[in-house]
Amino acid sequence: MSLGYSIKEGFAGFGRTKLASATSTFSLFIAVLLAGFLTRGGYALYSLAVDLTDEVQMEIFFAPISDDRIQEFGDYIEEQPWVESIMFTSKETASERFRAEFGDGFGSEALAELDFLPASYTVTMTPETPIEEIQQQVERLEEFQEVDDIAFNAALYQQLRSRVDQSIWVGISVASVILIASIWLVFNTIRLTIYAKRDTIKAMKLVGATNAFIRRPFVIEGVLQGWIGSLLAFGVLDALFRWAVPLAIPQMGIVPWPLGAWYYLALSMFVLGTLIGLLGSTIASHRFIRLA
Amino acid sequence: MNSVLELDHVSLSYQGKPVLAECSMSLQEGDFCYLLGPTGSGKSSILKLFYRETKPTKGDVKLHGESIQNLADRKIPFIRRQLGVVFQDFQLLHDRNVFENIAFALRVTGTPSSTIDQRVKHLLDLVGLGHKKKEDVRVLSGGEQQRIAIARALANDPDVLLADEPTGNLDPGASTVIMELLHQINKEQNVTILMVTHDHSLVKRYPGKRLELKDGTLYDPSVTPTQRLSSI
Ligand SMILES: Nc1ncnc2c1ncn2[C@@H]1O[C@H](COP(=O)(O)OP(=O)(O)O)[C@@H](O)[C@H]1O
Ligand SMILES: [Mg+2]
Repeated sequence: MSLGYSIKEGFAGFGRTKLASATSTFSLFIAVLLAGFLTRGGYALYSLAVDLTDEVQMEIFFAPISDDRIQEFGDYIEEQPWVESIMFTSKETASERFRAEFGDGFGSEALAELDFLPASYTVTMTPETPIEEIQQQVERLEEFQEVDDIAFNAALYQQLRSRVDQSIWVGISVASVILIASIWLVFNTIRLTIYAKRDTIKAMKLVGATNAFIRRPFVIEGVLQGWIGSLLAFGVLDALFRWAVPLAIPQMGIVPWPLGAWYYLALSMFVLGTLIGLLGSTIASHRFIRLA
Repeated sequence: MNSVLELDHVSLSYQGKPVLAECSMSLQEGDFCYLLGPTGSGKSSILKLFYRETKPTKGDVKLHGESIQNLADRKIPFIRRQLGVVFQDFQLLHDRNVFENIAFALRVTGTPSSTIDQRVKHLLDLVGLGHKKKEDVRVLSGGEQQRIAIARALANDPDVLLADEPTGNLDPGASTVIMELLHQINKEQNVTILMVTHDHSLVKRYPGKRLELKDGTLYDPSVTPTQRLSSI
């Protein structure tokens, strides 16, 4: 059976039921636009939160022990699975920093000579590690004789982490609702289209058309709605972040594209629109052409 | 002789309401048969049994000797390609022109475009509407619309034509044209025709076999009741 015919009919169907097609394309456009907006905005917020989380570090200060022992201890910490990287600050560096910050006055030199600034490691944690484990590790490390003190802002870290987790869940939930709603809208439009064309479908069945043959133009119509809806959505999304967002919130500037390039999001939106159109029209045509 | 259309002790009820009771009939290749009977007696239902729009409650419905009532739904399209069906209300597609109304019946069966052009031209010439190829079907007269419907029914070269009151909406002049056309198709192409009608004057002018449906039973009105009894 000719695919050319199905494609032509699919396009013609788009024109024959203009209002229903426009409604469906519009709802699809809104769904894909919202999903795109959430992804781009959400991604920006997410990377911001992750950056902030990365900045919450742990500092391990050492008791006065030999450099070799500190070196050994550093190797040990670096091997831990919850550690991403460590950075060493020697007593000398610490003193220099102190001096640079407070100047030579106020007897600071004398204080530095007193050797009160210990050597330390600054530890960046792997983001997957649960907060409870980090706290356990802090307690464990504090037991070591070599360790004088550990500085770690657990409360801040925990808050940032739970914010990131929350926003991921909110994003996924909102996106799922939108996705289901838009599939339902396409499903209903195609159902209406099938209802509007029931005479045509009846006549097709009468002359021996198979259900698969009758279905194809409707599915193509749905995919077409997906394409048009998602291309429009991408255009509007780009315009929104280019003009509207900087105008409304000047301090935000241009929000970056997820993964650093426009085409990842563009492709995802296009695929999403196509899938919504395909799914909605396939389900509707399977269910309703049999009954027509 | 092989029977083309056959009912073998067929009963049919809709939601428990009986319409046909133990009906039997058999048409041979090249028959032209009228199906008569009052409104609501079940004439359209008999045609529906043959194009598998309805299934019998009991008995066998046969097309070319094969029972069709138990065929899987996905095989129904292939049954319908062996039959042409026309109705009182034509059932043409109003969003397409004359050519497309016939061509889509060929597209459905996967006929190549080059063949479609030739075939539609041939069918339009057959029904005498070659010059109306590009017309909108809505501007055609009733008689012309029915001729297009007949052309569409014949598109896939079926050997059976089922006609449900094809002249029911037409004036006497147009009815005559349709009857001439149906008889021509029956004679020249040896298409077996089963035609439902109310119009006894047409039956007189164009004689053919007759079947009459009354109170759920089907009988041949040319046979007297006593003959019927003795044949049982
Ligand atoms: N799909 C259906 N569901 C229920 N009843 C039906 C259906 N089709 C027909 N009938 C009933 O069956 C009887 C016969 O109908 P039909 O075959 O259309 O008769 P005819 O064509 O002789 O006028 C009528 O009483 C009609 O109301
Ligand atoms: Mg009827």
